[in-house]
Amino acid sequence: MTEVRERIPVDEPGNRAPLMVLAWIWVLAPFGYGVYELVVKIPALFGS
Amino acid sequence: MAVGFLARSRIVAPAGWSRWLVPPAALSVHLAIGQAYSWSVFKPALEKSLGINGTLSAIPFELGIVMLGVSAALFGTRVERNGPRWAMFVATCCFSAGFLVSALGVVTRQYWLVILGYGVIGGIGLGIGYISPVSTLIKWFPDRPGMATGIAIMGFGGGALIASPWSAQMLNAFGVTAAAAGQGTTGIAKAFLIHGLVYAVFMSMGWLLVRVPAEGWKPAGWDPSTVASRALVTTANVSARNAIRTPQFWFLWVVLCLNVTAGIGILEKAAPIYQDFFTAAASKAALASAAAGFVAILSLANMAGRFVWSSTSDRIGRKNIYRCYLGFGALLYLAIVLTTNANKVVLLVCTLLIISFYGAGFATVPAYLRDLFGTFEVGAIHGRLLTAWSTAGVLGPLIVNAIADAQIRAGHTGPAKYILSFSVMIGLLVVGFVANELIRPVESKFHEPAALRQGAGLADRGRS
Repeated sequence: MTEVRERIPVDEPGNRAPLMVLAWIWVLAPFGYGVYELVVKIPALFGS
Repeated sequence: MAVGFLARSRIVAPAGWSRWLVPPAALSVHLAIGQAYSWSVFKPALEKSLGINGTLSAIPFELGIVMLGVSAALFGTRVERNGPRWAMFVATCCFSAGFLVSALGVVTRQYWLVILGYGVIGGIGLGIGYISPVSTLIKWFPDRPGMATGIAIMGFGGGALIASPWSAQMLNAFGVTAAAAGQGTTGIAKAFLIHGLVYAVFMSMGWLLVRVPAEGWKPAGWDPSTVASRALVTTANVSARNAIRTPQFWFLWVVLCLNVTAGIGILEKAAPIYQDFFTAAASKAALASAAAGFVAILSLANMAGRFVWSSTSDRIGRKNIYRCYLGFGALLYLAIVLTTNANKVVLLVCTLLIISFYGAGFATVPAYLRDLFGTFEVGAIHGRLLTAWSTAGVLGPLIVNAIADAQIRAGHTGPAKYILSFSVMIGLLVVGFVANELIRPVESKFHEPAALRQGAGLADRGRS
């Protein structure tokens, strides 16, 4: 007979990896776009 | 939506909840409301389509920054009491509604609605949103409060980086150009509408994701006594009401106000400063491009400084890092005054560091407040302190522009136009340095009573 152990999914840190990835992509993707748009302007500073 | 869903008790983190989920929640709000600093993208289009002048078109932004300070001061205690989900939700509603009301104002050609929408309603969203994650981050990261608030407040700097090209591309896609006078308002109205909707969705990640630590939670392996052993760092708590009665609060108010003003000394005139310092470009277009690159690299320094220097303050202490921002900042301004346009690298290094200190001043101040006044009502105290920002945000550009205009009228050209205003900035930074030196630990008479403090601390942890 197999012992059934009660598990509470929300208390498992490992279960939150997808949430962690989604949350950071959610903010880093637009942030990366903003930084990219900025960085492309910088070479002109050294070209004059 | 039920009030209960927004209540602090509904967002107490279960065991195992990673504290690294809290910074993205904070960033969802700060990256959005940081859009405020890209308002200038809309100005030419509004001026042409509604026939208003530059002073009028700046009012929504200026009022928004004033409302940021006022609402953070007025609603700080309520934000502390109701918790971050409530605060982020309210900020989402106000900030998005500000855009929607502005869209209505533009399409009906009622400019007062744009001022009311973006400036007042959106400005309230700015204030509540700005302080919404601060005390929660400090409680999740008691071992690294400077780093935690640095991440969030770096997001505020990053908001304009995202919004500036995004808004410009959107206006362009809707056929809105700065050149065409008397063009229709539909394109701007559509852009405002889309901004309101997209920011509502983007910010929702914040209030859905944010959690507060459970009672008694602390990071694994962290010993609170190691933090309290530092000078100025208290284990006591001071209420927001008492904090504003302490000289420490007002010294810090002066420090923040003058640090912001000194940064504005360069930020306000970044492109013209570059063009006046280095006129020997191949062509006017090349000079304008180089100046745009200068502004861009300053924006990066502003943003990076918020994270780097604020994180450094966790190691070397808050008072020491402000000595650097203010004292070293004054020396950097002095270097520019002495070398003027003799060396581009010197100007670049000095201005980059000054602007990084400007940004870092915002990011480090919540941790400084935590050190001085404890975590009890640090968000509310931070809200009251942001009136220093509003003051500097209005007075700073006025001073800088008035001095620059006077120098131009006096016939000065090139770098000479800015020598007086940079010298004034040195003086302001020295005054700020002295104010920082005068900060001492808060007297015990301002502390919450010991029994109450223990209860408050427990309650605080329970609700936080």
